[in-house]
Amino acid sequence: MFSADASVLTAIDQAIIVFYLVAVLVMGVFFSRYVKTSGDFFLAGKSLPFWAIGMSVVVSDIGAIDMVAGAGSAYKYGLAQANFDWLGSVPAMIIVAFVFVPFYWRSGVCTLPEFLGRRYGMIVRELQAVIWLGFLVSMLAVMLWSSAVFLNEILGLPTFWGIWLTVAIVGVYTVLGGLTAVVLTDVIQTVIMFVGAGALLLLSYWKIGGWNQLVATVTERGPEFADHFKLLLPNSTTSPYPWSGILFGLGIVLSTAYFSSNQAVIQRVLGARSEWHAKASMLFAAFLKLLVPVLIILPGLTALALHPSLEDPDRAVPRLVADLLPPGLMGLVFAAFFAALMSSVDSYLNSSTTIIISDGYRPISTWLKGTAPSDRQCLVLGRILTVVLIVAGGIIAPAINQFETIYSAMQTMFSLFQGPTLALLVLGVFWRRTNSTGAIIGLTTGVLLSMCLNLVGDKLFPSDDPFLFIAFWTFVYSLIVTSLVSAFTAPPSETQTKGLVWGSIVDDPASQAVLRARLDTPENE
Amino acid sequence: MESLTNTIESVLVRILKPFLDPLHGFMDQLPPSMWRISVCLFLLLGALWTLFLSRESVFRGCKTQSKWADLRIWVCVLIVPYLLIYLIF
Repeated sequence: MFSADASVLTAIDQAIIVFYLVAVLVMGVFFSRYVKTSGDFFLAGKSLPFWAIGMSVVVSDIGAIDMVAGAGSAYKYGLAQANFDWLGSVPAMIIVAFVFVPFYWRSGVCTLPEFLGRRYGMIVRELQAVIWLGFLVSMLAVMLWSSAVFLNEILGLPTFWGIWLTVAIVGVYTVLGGLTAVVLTDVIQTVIMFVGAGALLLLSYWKIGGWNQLVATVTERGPEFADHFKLLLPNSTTSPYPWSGILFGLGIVLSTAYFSSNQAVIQRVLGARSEWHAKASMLFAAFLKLLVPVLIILPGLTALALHPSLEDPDRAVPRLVADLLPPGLMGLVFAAFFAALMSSVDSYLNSSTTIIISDGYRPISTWLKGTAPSDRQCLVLGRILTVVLIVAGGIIAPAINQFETIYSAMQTMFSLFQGPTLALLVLGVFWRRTNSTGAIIGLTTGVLLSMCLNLVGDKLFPSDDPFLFIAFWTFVYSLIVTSLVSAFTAPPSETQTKGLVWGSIVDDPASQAVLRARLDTPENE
Repeated sequence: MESLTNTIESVLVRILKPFLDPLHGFMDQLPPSMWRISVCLFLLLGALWTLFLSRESVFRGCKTQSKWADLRIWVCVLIVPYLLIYLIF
C-alpha cells in the first residue's frame, strides 16, 4: 500500500512517528490511576465530557483503511462517496441523540444485546452478542494486520514485530486505562488526524490551483467524469450509490442501525458525565462529520486531477503524500494514519470485552451461582479478557492475509443483520405489544431474506452491488413480520416491558427498581 | 449451491420483480430536482422534529439552562451546512 513511499521517509519523519507512539503509550499509562471499579474501566466512571466522546466516536469510525479506500472510492465514483459521512450520518445521529441515547441511559443497559435480551429474552440476546462479538473480534485481527503491513511499508519493520508492537502499545493503554484511556487518546488522535489530512488537502489544492480548477480538470477528462462532483446519482446508475439507495437504504436504515447499535458508539456515549453530555456528544460528532469527507474524499478527487491514470484507485492518497509533502509533515501524516488505526483497534478491543462481560459472563455467572458477580471480579476479568483478546488478535492477524475471503464473508454476514436488527430495536422501543415470538421470527426470517436477496440482488435491483436496497427491504420485511406475529400471539406482560418501552415511566422509582432487580435476578436473564 | 441459487432466483425474482420494477421505473423517471428535494426534506424533517421536544428533556443532566446548552439550537445550526451542501451539489 505504501511501499513506494517508504524510501522517502526521512529521519525526522520516523522520529515524529516514534515520538507519537511513545506519547500515546505514556498517556494511556497515566490514565490507569483513575480506574478503580468495573464502571471506571467499561464506562470511564461516567465522567467523560461531550467533546471528548464526540471526537472519539468520529475517529473510531475512521480507520486508516477508510482514509485510503475512501479516497480511492472518491477517485473512482466521485463525491457520492461523501454521502456515507453526510446523509448517512447526520439524521441518524440526531435520532440516536434524542431517542436512543436517553432510552439506553435511563433504562440502565450498556449493550444492545442486553436491551434486546431484556425485551425479547435470552435467545435474542445471545444471538446478537455472538453476531457483534464475531464482527468485533474479526475486525480486531484485520486492524492488527493492517497496522503490521503499514509499519512494514513505512518503517521497514517486519510484520511479526509490527503486529506485536501494536498489540503492546494499544494493549497496555487499554488494559490499564480502560474506556477513559481509549477516549482521551482518541482525542489526541483526532487532532493529529485532522491536522495531517488537512495539510495534505491544502497542499494538493495549492498544487492544483483551487476548487474551480479542480472541477474543470476532472470534468474535462471525459463524459464518465461528468457526475464526479454530484452527491446524488441517478437511480439507474450501476455504481453502488444510486440516490434512492442512499436515501432509503443508507439514510434511513443502515446509518440508524449503525449508530444505535454499534457497541463502540453506545459505550462511549454511556460513559458521559450526564444525559445532556451523552446527547450533546452525538451532535458534536455530527458537526465533526461535516469535515470528514473534506479531509478524506477530496484528496481522492485532487489525486484524480493530478494523477488521472492510476491503475489502483487506493493508491491515490499514498501518491499524493509522496508527491506533495515535505520532510516532517510526511511523518505527521503517517502518524495520522497510524492514529486512525490505533483508535479503531482500541475501540474494537474495549467493546468486545464489554460484550463478553455484560452479555456472557454476568448473566451466565448469575444463572449458575444465583447471584451477580462482584464488581471486583468484573474489573479483573475485564482486564484479563482485554489481554487475551488482543493477544488472540495478534496470533490470528497473520492468517487474515491468507483468508481474505473469510473476512469478506464475515463483513457480508454482518451487513445481513442490520435491517432486521433495527426493526427489532425500533419495535421493541416504541411498541409495547411486540413479543419475543415475533422478534425471533422477524429476526431469523429477515436474515434469511437478506441472504437470499444477496444471492439474487443483481436481478432485482439496478445497482451492481445492491446492499443499500437489500438493507432497506429487509428492514421493511422484518418490521411487518415482527408486528404481524406479535399481534397474533400473546402480548408480553406489563412487568416484562416496564421501563423498557418508550412512554413507560422510566424515571419512576418503581420502574427503576424493576430494572435494577432484573440485572441481578437469574430468572430474568 | 448453484441449484439452490437457481431455485431462490426463480422463486424470489418471480415474486418480487413485478413489485420492484414499477417502483424502480417510477424512481428512474423522477428529475434530479426531485432527488434533491427528497433528500433536503429528509434532512429537514430529521432535524425539525427536535424543536417539539420539551425543554425539560433537552436540558436533562445539564447544570445551566443557557441558550448555548439548548440542544435544539445545536441541531438547527448543525443542519444548515448539510442543507447547503445538498442544495449546491
